[in-house]
Amino acid sequence: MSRYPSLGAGFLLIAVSCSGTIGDPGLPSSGASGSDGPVIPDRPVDPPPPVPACTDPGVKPSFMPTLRLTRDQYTNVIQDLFEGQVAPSDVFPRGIDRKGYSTHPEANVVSLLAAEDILRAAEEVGAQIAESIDQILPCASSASPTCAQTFINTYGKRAFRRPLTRDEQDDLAALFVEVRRDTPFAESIGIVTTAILQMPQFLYVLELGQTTSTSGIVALTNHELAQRLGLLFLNSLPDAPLIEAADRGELSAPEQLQEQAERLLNDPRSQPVLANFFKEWLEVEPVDPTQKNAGRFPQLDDDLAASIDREFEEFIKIVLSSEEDTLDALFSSREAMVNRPLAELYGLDPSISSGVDDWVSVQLPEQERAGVLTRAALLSTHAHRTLTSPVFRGHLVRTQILCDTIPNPPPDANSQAPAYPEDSSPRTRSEILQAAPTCGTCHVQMDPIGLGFENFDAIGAYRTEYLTGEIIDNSGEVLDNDELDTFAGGLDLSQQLATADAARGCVPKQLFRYMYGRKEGERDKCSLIQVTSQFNQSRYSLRGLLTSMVLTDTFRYRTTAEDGVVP
Amino acid sequence: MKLSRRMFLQGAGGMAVGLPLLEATSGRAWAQNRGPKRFIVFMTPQGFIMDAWRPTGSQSNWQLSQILQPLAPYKQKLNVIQRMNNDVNELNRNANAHNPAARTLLTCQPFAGNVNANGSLRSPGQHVENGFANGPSIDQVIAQRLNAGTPFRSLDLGIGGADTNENQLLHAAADDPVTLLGDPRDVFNRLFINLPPPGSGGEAPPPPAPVNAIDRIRARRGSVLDTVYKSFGRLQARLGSSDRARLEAHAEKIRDLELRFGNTPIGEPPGPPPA
Repeated sequence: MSRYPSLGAGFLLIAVSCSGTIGDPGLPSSGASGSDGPVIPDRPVDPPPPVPACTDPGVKPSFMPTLRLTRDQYTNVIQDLFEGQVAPSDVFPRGIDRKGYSTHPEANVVSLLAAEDILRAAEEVGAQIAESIDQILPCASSASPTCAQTFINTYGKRAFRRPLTRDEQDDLAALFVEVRRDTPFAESIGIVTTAILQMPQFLYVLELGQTTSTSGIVALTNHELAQRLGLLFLNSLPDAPLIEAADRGELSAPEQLQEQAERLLNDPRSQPVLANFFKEWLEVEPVDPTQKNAGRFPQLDDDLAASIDREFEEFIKIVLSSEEDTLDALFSSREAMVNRPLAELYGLDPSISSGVDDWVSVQLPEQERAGVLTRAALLSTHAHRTLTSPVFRGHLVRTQILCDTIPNPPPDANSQAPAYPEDSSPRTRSEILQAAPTCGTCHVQMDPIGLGFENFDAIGAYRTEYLTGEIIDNSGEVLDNDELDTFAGGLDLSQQLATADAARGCVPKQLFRYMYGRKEGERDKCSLIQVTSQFNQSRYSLRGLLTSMVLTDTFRYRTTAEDGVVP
Repeated sequence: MKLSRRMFLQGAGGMAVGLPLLEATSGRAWAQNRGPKRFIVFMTPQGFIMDAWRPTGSQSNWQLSQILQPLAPYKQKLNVIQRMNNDVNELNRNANAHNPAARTLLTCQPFAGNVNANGSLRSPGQHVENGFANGPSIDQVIAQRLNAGTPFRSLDLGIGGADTNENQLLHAAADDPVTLLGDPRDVFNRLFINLPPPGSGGEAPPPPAPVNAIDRIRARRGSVLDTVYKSFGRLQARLGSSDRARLEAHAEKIRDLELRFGNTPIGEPPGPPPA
C-alpha cells in the first residue's frame, strides 16, 4: 500500500549517522557532548551513506519547552471532546501577536486577562454540558455520584489525553460533592467540566515521561506519543484508535508510529490541519478587504477574499492527496479549484463556474501561474494595500523557503531610507534602495527576488504592465546562492525552487519549528538529518516527510530542562 | 447608574491605568471624599510630530506646544521631560528597532531570553530576536505595593486590544506580559456589571438567584478556581525549571482570579486602604 517503502522497517538502514561527515568535512562527532555537534546541512546528500541510525544514547533532542494548546487547538479539542455536541466558546484568548509559528510558547503565555477568558470560555462550555447532559452522559437521569465518577473518568481521560491519576480523580470528585449540595446534578457536572478545562493537565501539552528523570531526558509515554500524533495530524485530541493503541502500549515501536501516521494522513480530517502548516510556513494570512485599497481593487469583496483563502487550502489538499505529493508539485503544479470570482481573478473563462459556490477543478494559465508561490493568497499577504512589496516577497523566499537569515534593519533604518522620484516603478525604487549605504547590504538579498514577482499585483492578479503603461520587467535574481541564479518571473523561480537542494533542506526544518514551537537545537541534528535523508529517498514526498518526522528521536524523547541551547 | 465623564476619567484613561476605579463610583468613596491615589501611564507609540510637541522656552519659563495645549489648565503641575535616553534598549543586541523599545520603557529590563539564570546578560551571539521583558513594569509594581484590595488591581486598556505586538509595554513579572482590553463594551461589562445601584449607599445588591445553567456555574467560581489552583501544585514537582516558572506564573493568575471572584459577591465594596 505504502508508496514509501523506504520509510517502513527499512528506515533504520537508510538513516544517516550523526557522526558521519555530511556536507562539511570539518564536522566533529555529535556524541554525548551534544551541544557542539555538527551543523545540519541545508542540502541532503544523494545517495545518503548507509550508516547506523541515531541510536547513540548521547543523541537526544534539545530542550523542549512545554507547549500550551493554541486557540485553534482548543476549538478543535472542545469539538472532539464532546463529539460535536458543544460549541467551542469564542472568548478563549487569541495567541499573542508575534512573528513565527502559532505553537511557540511566547504566543501562548497566559496573562491575567487570558486566564479570565479561559475561565469564561470554560463556563460557557460547562453551561452547554449542563443543558444537554442527557445526550452527553447517559447515566445522568440517575443523578448519582457514581455517574459523576463515570463522567470524570471518561471525559477527564479524553481531556487530559491520558488516564487520570488518583489525586486528579479525587480532586474533581471532591469538587462535585461540594457543589452538588446546593446545585442540580447537571450544573454540577458543568462545574466539574469548567474546572477540567482550566487545569494545566488539559491546557498544556504535558510530556513528563514515565518516571522522573535524572538526566533531564524522558522517553514519551504511549499516551504522550498519541497526544503528539493527535496534535500533528488533527490539531486536536488523539482520536479513538490512537488512545486505544496507547492504552494497549502499542505506540512505542517505530512501525507502530508509522502505521498511525499513515492512517491519519489518509484521514480527511487531517487535510485542513496540514494545510494550516503550509499557511503558517508561507506566512499566508486571511485576505482582509479593508486592508487593501478599495479604489484600486474594487473586485476584492468579502466573497473574493474568502475564495482566495479557500483556494490556497484546496491547492494544498490537491498536492497532498495526489500521487505526486512532492515539493516539486507544490512549487510547479497548475492544478487549482476555483469558483467564479477566482476564475475572473486568475484570467480564466468565467463561464466555467456559475458562481461563488460552484467550485471547479482547473489548470491555471500555463504562461502565468504554477505552484504555491503564484497563488493569490500568498501574493496578496506579501504585498501592501496598493503596491506590491518586492521586500516582503523576497524576504519570504529567503527566510521561509531557503531558511536563510536576514538580519533586522538597523535602528536608524527609516532615517537612512533614500528618496525616490515621484511615480517611479518598484524596480527603480528598489534599485535606489539597494544602492543606498546600510540599506543595500540586506536589500540586495531580498529585493531582486521579489521584483521577479512584479507580474502579480497586490491582490495577486496577473498583469504585464503598470497603470502608467510601463511594461513590467520580471527579471529576478537570487544572489549568493550557488544553485539558484537569475530568473524570469515567479514561474521560472518556482521551477528552480522545485528542485533546489536549499529548499529541500529547509522544508523539514520549517515543519520541525511548527511541530515543536521552537527552532531546532544542536542536539536535534540527528533527527533532522534522518528526516532530510528520508525526504530525499522518497523523492521529496510531503506525506513521507510528515511520516518520517514521527520516527525521530526528537519526536519520541523530550529533554525537559535547558541544556544551554537557547530554545 | 449614570457615570459622568469626569467620574470616569478620574479612574481610567489612556493605555495603561494603575489602581482602583470602583470605589470612586461606588458611593462609598475613600476618606474625605477624595479618590484613592492613581498612577496613570499613557503611551502613544511611534512618536509625535516633534515640532508641534516640544515645548519652548527655558526650564523656569516655558510655553506649551501645540499638541500639549489641552493641558494648559494643569501647566503648573506638569513636567515635560525630554532628551531622555533609553539605555536598556541597547542591551538587546539581536532585536529590531521596535520590539525592545516598549518592552524596556517601564521595566528597565532586557528581554528575559537575553538573561542567564544567575541574572547576568548572555553574550550577544546568544541573544534572542524578541521576547518579553525580564521583570515587571513600574505600573504593576505600584499597583501591587498599594494593594488596595479592589477587584481590579489595574486597568490595562489599549486601542487594538491584545494585538499590542511590538508595543508590549506592560509586564506583570519577568516573561509575563500584561495583555490589554481593547473593546469599550467589553471593558464596561467587566468593570461595571456588578456595581451597586445608585442610592444604595454603596451596599452591593444581593447576588441574583441563579436562573439558568451559566449563572449556577458562575456562582461556583471560587470552588472551581480552588480546584484548578490545587491541580497546578500537583504538577510542579515533575516540571523542569523553565516550565515550572511558566506554570507558576499561570497559577498566580488563577489565585488572582480567586481573590477577585472568590465566594464573596463581586459588587461588595472593599474596606479602606491600608494606612
